[in-house]
Amino acid sequence: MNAKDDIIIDVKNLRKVYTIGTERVIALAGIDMKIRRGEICCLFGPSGSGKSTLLNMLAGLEKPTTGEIAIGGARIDKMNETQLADFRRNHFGFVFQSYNLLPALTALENVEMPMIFRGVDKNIRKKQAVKMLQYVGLKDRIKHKPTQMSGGQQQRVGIARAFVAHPPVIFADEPTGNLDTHTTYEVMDMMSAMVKKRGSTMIIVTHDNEIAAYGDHIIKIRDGKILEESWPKQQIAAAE
Amino acid sequence: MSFLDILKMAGGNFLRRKARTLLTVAGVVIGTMAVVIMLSIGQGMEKGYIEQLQSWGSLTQIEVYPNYSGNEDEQTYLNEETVTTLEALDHVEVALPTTRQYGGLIMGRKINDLGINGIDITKLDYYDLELENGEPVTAEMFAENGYLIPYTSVFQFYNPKQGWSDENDPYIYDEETGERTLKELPFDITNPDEARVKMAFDMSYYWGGEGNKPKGYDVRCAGVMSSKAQGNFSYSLVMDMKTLDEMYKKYQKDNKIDTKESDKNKNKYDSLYVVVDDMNNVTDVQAEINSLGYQTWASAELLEDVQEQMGMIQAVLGGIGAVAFLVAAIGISNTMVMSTYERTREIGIMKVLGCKLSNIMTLFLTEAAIIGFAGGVFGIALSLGLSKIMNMLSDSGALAMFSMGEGIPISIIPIWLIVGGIVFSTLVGVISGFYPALRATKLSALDAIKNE
Ligand SMILES: Nc1ncnc2c1ncn2[C@@H]1O[C@H](COP(=O)(O)OP(=O)(O)OP(=O)(O)O)[C@@H](O)[C@H]1O
Ligand SMILES: [Mg+2]
Repeated sequence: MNAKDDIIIDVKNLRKVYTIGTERVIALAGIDMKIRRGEICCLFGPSGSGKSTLLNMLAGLEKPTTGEIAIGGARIDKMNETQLADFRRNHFGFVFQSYNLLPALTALENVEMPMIFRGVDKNIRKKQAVKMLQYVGLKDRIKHKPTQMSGGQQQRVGIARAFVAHPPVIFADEPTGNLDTHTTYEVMDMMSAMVKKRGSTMIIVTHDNEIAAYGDHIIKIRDGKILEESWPKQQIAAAE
Repeated sequence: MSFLDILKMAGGNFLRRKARTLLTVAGVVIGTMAVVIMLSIGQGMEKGYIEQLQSWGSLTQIEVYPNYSGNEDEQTYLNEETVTTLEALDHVEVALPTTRQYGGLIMGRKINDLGINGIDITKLDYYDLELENGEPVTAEMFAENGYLIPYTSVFQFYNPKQGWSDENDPYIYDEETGERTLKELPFDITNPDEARVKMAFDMSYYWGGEGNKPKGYDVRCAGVMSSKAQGNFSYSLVMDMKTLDEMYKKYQKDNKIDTKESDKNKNKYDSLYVVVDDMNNVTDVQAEINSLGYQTWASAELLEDVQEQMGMIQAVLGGIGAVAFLVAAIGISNTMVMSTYERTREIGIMKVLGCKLSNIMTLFLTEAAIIGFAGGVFGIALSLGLSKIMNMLSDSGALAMFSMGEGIPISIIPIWLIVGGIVFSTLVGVISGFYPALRATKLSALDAIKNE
């Protein structure tokens, strides 16, 4: 397989400048990067370095000031709100630090949500959601509301929701930020296994070395710039 | 996102906030009731007026008069020719002539002053004659000098030397309530053994006038007309116009009255009614008859004025109700805006996950529409109840001062008002929900997912 041809995310000279009153905050100061299909890519860096800003822009949640973002060849920096919503619905899954489940809905309904938005038939989506919840180990919690579950359980619902519709790209901004070490490994194992099994691509934001270790591709960011890029697993594989 | 899913989601949102939803719906209920009750009172008034008009004559009838211009050339008359001409007009079903004489009935020493109407018994069905005993009026009844008498007239035989007495009053009055009830007939006037009655044309002798006692002619009472009859036939006798004419000629001959003098009046009929096929054609037919040189009057003329006035009254009443509805609409808007504040995070998450903006818009509009619809349905239900209570109170006299007449309800809620009320309140819901819905679609998805 030609690695170059299999670039799923292609970012060129991406800049993001926030203007607050007269003050200008340069969150991203020219980012160039490529992410290959099937990669787990870690955006790694200290607080305030611009990781979340970069992820949000890749996910089409925020507009770049300048620069290009192509995902699977589609220029999302040129899309309007409606097109972006369509694109996110059909191609992206999200895992959040604070889970972001809908509090009024049960675990099952939360997992069904992306498929409801896609207009998937009721029976099919229910079956699929149950299967997904079973996979993350919450089969006996499907009727529970988010407030009736622990943080780890909520995040597993979040993972089920992110993967249920088989999106090619998963975005996760500090998915384990609110979890203890043990749960962190559980959740990370679950996610990386799923990504590998499906051949999907995952972009994960973290400032935690342990989590970065799950990455195939690690992008170190500081002050809105890429400090260093590495592919540790390839190096290990090469060394062996 | 299918509409069913949106509906389910909207329902879930209501269940989460029952108290606030109920209060908002209550506002719409009150608004709906205000509008519906006000308009129903307008409907009651309109019906009352129309019934009053109908009591003055059917709304499809036109009364035709000759032209009294005084100019010999333009003078028109009511005669057989007129009937033929008018019946040839479009939309005219029939022209009903009536002749009229004044006289009365004599029964022994008692007399009864009455007008006598002669009708064309070949058109009997159109004259709207009803008998008190419910039997149909037939042409045979008018044979052998047969006549019909109004119910109340049966009571009014009196001895001219003694004048009227309580016996002559067909009603009994309740001293406490003042309500009046009709008495039973005092005797069977149709039975010649019980009542020997003759007809005369000049009663002035009995009132102390000059001349001789009038000659009575043999007549036969064929029936008593309904006590519920209205108009001309509720206080005059009815005969076949041919019989009446013959009897009157005989009277003129018997009393050596100069018939040539009376022939000068070329009006063969004393009144002529034209029956039109539909109320809406009355104005056209009337104009045509006028152009033929006759004068006309139709109670439908008043109807137009009444309808115009009623339209204004309804607008004012509806306007008063609409104020309450406006408050309800603001209530819906307020509730929905509050809801967007509370659900900022949820809406944001939905947007991040790729929910269409149009789905979010529809969700909020649907929620507002449901509030409007529910308020409309309950509002109509309560209005129907309230309307019933009002009408019961009016029947029992408590609200009689507002009533248009006996038996006419104060408040009428027709089907169109029921359907219209629900459609309107739902529509107001949707309109009130528009701004909040727009607000929801404009919420930032990013703000929602940023850690709080
Ligand atoms: N909406 C905004 N308006 C102004 N400045 C912003 C905004 N969002 C982010 N920034 C700034 O951009 C910079 C990068 O922020 P960002 O959230 O991407 O950091 P981060 O790497 O995700 O940090 P953390 O690990 O703490 O989440 C910060 O200096 C931040 O203050
Ligand atoms: Mg961050």
